[in-house]
Amino acid sequence: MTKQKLMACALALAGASAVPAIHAVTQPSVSRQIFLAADLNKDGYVDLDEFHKDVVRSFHALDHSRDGYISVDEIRAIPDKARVELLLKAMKLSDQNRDGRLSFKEVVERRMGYFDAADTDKDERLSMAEVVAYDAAAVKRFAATWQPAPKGAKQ
Amino acid sequence: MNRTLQRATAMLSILLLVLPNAVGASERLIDLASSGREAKYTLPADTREVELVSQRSGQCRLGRTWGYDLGARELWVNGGCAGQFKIITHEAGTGAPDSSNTAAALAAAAAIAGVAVLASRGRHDSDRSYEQSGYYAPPSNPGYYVPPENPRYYPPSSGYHPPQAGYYPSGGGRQGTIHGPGGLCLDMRGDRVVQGTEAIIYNCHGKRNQRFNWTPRGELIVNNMCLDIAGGSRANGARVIAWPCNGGRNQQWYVNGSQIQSQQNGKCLDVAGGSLQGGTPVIVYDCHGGQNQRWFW
Repeated sequence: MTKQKLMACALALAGASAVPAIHAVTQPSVSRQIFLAADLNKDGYVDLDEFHKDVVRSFHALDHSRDGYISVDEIRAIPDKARVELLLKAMKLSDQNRDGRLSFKEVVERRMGYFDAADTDKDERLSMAEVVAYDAAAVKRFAATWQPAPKGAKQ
Repeated sequence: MNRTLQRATAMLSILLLVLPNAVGASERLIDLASSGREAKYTLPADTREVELVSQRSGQCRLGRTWGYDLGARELWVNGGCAGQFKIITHEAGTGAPDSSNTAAALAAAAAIAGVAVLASRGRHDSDRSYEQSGYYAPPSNPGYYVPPENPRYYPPSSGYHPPQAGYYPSGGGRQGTIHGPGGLCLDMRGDRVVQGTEAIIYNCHGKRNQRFNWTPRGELIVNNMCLDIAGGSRANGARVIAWPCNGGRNQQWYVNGSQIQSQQNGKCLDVAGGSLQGGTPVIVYDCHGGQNQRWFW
């Protein structure tokens, strides 16, 4: 086999393993499931208190050491390597002070920002439609930055 | 008014009430009021969450006029919000887990990071699946929980079992491998599980000596035997073995985050010496949140 063919095979393999993982995490069904889990009183809306509670509950689910921070180590402990890498990339975006871990404050602030942005009709509660629409738009925006930027382009 | 005086005023408006509770003092109520300015209350170190029980005056809105930061251990109110708050501290749960903690952790990570930032680069991310199922289908409709993964992306050798019924399914009866540190699995030594077989960690293969079934009481059944603390020992380092199920507390476990704890004394299922070598015995030890006490299923 030629060098080029080998390279093509390797690329194909790498692509085949990476794309489904990304796909799996970004299906709108994930948005829906997170919404349903957060809608504690099952009235079809996630209000501010429910949303905040879900964020706190999620924080505790990941902060195994209970030191008030979610560390890379705690994410890596999840036995799902493909998605762990994606999540680590995503979580870097919330790490405002770049200390390599997420504090309670960083997490809550980012998620409350999300709440305000996704609440398009400003009624202080999220509907399923608002969440799905906002997530879909944000995925598209992020996808544009996901590709390696061409040489010389602004990063 | 200087800052010290402000604080003192705020402290004066705090009324402490410790509620008697069956599980232990896990909840307490406090009153906190802001008279236009911010007032703060220092939260106990093991606070899990805070709830507004009742509003006394003003407009109390979470994240707007009241909030808390577990890192800074601070509960705050401002803008005239006054209310009674419930402080909930970490407490042990009981019995079997109601869901896979792997799936829950992933959902939590996605919720925290914001599912939206997990980008797609393909056109595969059509919105077909939600258009078909509709937004407002009742959660009780099983067809509504579309498993997010396509199983063929996760061959059995990957050791990952996609959740079948949503991220937070209810009800016990989970069965399968329990992943420990170092990518190894909770395992009963040897192929046969008999009375006295020792628990170890070992490469994951999912055979019968690695398949655990949670009962609603919190027993971990492996090949018709119960995971048991040998002799009901209460010591750190007590051996964990297979034993015929007898309903003893030394055969009952509960889940606390990713820890598996004994209902007998709250000690944690632990890989001895923190060694991540296959064949290392699994024991019980005081919980310390270390890597060698984390389990995923």
